[in-house]
Amino acid sequence: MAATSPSKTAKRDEPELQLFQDPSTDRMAQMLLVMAGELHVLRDRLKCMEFVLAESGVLNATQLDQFVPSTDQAQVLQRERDAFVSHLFEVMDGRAKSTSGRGNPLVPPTPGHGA
Amino acid sequence: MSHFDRSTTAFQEFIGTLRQQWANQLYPALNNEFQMAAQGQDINTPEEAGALVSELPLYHWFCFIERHYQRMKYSDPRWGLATALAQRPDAVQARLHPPSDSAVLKLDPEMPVPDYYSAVDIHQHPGNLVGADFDGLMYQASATSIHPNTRRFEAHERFATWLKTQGNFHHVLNMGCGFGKCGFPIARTFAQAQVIGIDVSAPCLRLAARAAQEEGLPNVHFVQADAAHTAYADGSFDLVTSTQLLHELPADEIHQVLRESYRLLKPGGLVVHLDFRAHAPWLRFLLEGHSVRNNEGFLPAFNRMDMVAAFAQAGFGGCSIEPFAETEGSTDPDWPYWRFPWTLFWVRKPA
Repeated sequence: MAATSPSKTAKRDEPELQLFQDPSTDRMAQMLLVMAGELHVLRDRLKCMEFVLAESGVLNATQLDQFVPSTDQAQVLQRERDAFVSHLFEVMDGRAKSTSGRGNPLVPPTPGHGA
Repeated sequence: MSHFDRSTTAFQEFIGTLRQQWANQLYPALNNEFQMAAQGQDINTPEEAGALVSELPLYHWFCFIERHYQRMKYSDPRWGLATALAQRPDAVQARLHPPSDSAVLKLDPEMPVPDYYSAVDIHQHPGNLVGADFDGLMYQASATSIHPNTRRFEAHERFATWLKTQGNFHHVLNMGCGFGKCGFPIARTFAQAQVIGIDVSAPCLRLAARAAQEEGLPNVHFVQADAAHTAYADGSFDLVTSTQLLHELPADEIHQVLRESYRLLKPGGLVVHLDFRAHAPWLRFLLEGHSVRNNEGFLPAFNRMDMVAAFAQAGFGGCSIEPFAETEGSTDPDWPYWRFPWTLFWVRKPA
């Protein structure tokens, strides 16, 4: 049967379907789905870890929700929160950019090609 | 899915929920937008419905989710079914080792795979159902998505119940049986019958035979064979069935399967092929679009085929075509959720 099995490689080389009018929207939406899947798996594992810790007596069911960080711990959480939101806003306000400088200062940037 | 690790299980559950909400939230919203846009317009063809709906932003999201929940389910490089099963050969083999009773399963390693079967990765299943040992397990893990609310093969259970209303049967052939999701309810419903499930996919048949023995069903066994060309004698069966088989076949094969159904039936025997049929232009547009988005290459031609004439050409006196409720209430006109238009095509061979 192997000799008549379909060629997986040939089919996989076909381009992915475009379902939005702009192909970049398709890719953006695919990225969102990847991130959503990643986020769900992370949340699931965290919840499972809480269950495991609770079952093993390390954590009781309400301990995490009632947890109050110490001053030092609160500062760590604050820094991480600030960095996360700042990172998001860097994209919105245009700060997110390469730190490598221009590739060639003699060639002016062209819209759509690296402006 | 106990043979998967936690991350894969969580990811696959996420995909299942995507599919469920796509059917239960996105489709009703899209349908509402379409019906609003269609008010006062004369929509007579799928193309006219398509021209209208293509202007709606939600339509593109509807298509996108339909395509990609299935793509990710199978082909996600980390937690897709193909990756997950390829990484667990021991767990796969544990599910597939042969049944102790060799009569339960008859494989034919020399049987050629039909060209049409190799040509399309149906449902986006990589390599279709004949490429790897775990293809049956992969299909089984994927297939419950057609019943997003119950996550069990409810249509097949209801199909067996419907068959019971047609009488008792003693020799049953289930064409395109896959991993047994249709044959098992039939074997349970007709405990006195001998049920044979045939399919071209050895990985599916191995899974079916193993499951039959685990469940202790003594009256069903599985044979690797092409439904269009079986080796059984004329008049061997009083019931010939399939579910979701015909729309996977090119037109020539459908005609041949119907001729084979006629040949295999005893006089007075019943043939029932459970499949899909959309009539309204809007639903036809969505179903035929689904065929593109989910690699169902033969579905549009099947949906347009004159089945009464096809059954008549095969020797039957035409056929009855009637909607089938795969879950309670799903054929009601105000059913709000996306569903495949399950349809019975059935007739008795003249006595």
